[in-house]
Amino acid sequence: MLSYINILDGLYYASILYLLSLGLNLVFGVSKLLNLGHGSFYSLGAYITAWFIGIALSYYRQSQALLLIPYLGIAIGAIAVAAIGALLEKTIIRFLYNITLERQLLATYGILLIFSDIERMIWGGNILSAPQPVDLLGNINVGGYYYPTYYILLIIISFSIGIGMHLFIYKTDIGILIRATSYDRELAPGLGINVRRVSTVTFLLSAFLAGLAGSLIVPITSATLGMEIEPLILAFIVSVIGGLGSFWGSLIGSILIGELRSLGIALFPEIELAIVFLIAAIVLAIRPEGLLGKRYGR
Amino acid sequence: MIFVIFTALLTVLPYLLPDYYIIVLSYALSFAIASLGFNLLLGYTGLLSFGHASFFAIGAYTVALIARYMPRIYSLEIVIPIALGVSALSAALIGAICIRHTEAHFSILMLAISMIIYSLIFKFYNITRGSDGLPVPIPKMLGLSLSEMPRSEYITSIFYYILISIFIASTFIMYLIVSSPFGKALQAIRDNPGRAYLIGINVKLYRYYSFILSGIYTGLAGALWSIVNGYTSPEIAHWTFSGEIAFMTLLGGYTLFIGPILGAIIYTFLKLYAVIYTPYWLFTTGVAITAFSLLLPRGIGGGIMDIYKIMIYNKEEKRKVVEKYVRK
Repeated sequence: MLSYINILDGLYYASILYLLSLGLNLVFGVSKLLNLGHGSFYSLGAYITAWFIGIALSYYRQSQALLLIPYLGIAIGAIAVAAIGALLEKTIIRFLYNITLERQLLATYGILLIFSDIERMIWGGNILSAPQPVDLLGNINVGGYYYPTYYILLIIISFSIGIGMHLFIYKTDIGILIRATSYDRELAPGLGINVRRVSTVTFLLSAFLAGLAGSLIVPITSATLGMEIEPLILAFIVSVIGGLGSFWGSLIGSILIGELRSLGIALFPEIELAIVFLIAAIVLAIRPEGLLGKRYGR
Repeated sequence: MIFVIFTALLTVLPYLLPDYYIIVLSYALSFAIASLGFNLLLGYTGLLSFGHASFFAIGAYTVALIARYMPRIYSLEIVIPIALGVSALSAALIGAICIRHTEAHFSILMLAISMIIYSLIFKFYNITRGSDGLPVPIPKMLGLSLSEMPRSEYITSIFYYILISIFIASTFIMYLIVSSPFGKALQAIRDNPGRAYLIGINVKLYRYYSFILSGIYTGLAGALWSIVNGYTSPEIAHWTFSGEIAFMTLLGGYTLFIGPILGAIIYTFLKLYAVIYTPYWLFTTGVAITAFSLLLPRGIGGGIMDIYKIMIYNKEEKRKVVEKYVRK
């Protein structure tokens, strides 16, 4: 039984994947780095937000600020993750730009493992949940069905942030620097571009997007250990089938994968993930460079 | 020469070490076969697969499923060839899709396919018993039933010798493969696919062959591992296990032939002690992986080789070796 709700569910999942894959694509486009550690930004965002909301609400249980705290928590989560990302870029990631892809993937895989254990050290193995934003907003009537307003808000926020990022890249001066670096990393310094700083900024943006995705999802799913694995893999799939480094590709790819996943859950709950990966494999078998990607060398 | 010493050492080890270490070593040797196969793809063909765990799981589940559904033919000399065949077949199928890509696309596609296999194993509860996993009883051998034997005794006595003979045979075959013209062609493809194509090497076909061989090795390793472990669970199909195989290879050094073997043995024992002494095993591994891929890209084996080279070489050649680490 399919309905609007399935489409909305797909969109909500797509919006999270969109934020994640946009970050992946940004870093890949500028620095030619495939960052497996991207997933840890997602889970860090989720943990920080849930942690903040939990603490803040225990202090201000009766106050008028009750409505504001969750949103503050989401913003703080995303910004904190951006800061962590910038720090990480300054210390480790910047040594990864010029090494071979295998070593990049392995090094960032190591970062993913490190962060997952850091989360365990700080927050323990418990589930950290913060359902207040969803509860506070209540439900909305969509074509005869009641649907949580927070989900709609999430879709709107993440797609508008994504489109804001497009505008940032295509309309502002910093965006021009980022694009110039992504076209030719070797020529860019010749034009007076500080490539190292551009790389830091893009990494910070990508961490921000991933942290935001995690912060936005935590009221719905709670923060758990290992929560980053599935979205990370799906975001990779989205980036690859959309075309690595292509922004519109990640938009189309995330909507495709999000909707497929939601339809898969509705129709074939047994093999939902398998269907998503199967479609991805078919797309790649037909169009190796992804839907909107540029052809790459042999 | 090294080969002979190694063989002799493996053969006498059960008399020297307690059973416990022999069991850990059996795990290490089955991982070593997997990372040998993995390294044919990474070190010799230049393709990083982030989904080799799926072949490992296919090998292991072939054994476990035969034990469950066809106990009549559940005998070691039948099970192992079937596992080889099944993993070859699945490698041929998966390879037909994946090998069209290189670099990151290949890695990600392999990751996706391994996750398909993971979720299939996980979700088809009726066949694979999902996350409960399947038991792998002690197989018959040449019509001889050994099921009364305690598992630890079986692994440290009969199966240990079977394992090391398979291990040595597969290492030897792998050595023949990489030093044959076919192996040299693969290395040419790794270094420069365009030039390899121009001198008349069928790049895609050779990559495909290498992929299938690599899948067979990993499947064999999975089959042996399942008998050592006595139990299979979907965890071994998860992509983090692919990461572990990759890490073993990197730890030992993927530029060396014996690197993967060294890496698998070091990794297994390292993990044993790390799990005993610290609850934060992932953190330790993560730091090690990141540090290795940044500082010591040629792994422990490569590092030892380089120190040896620095000791015997003259000044000019010394500089070349050192530059590999300093550059970047």
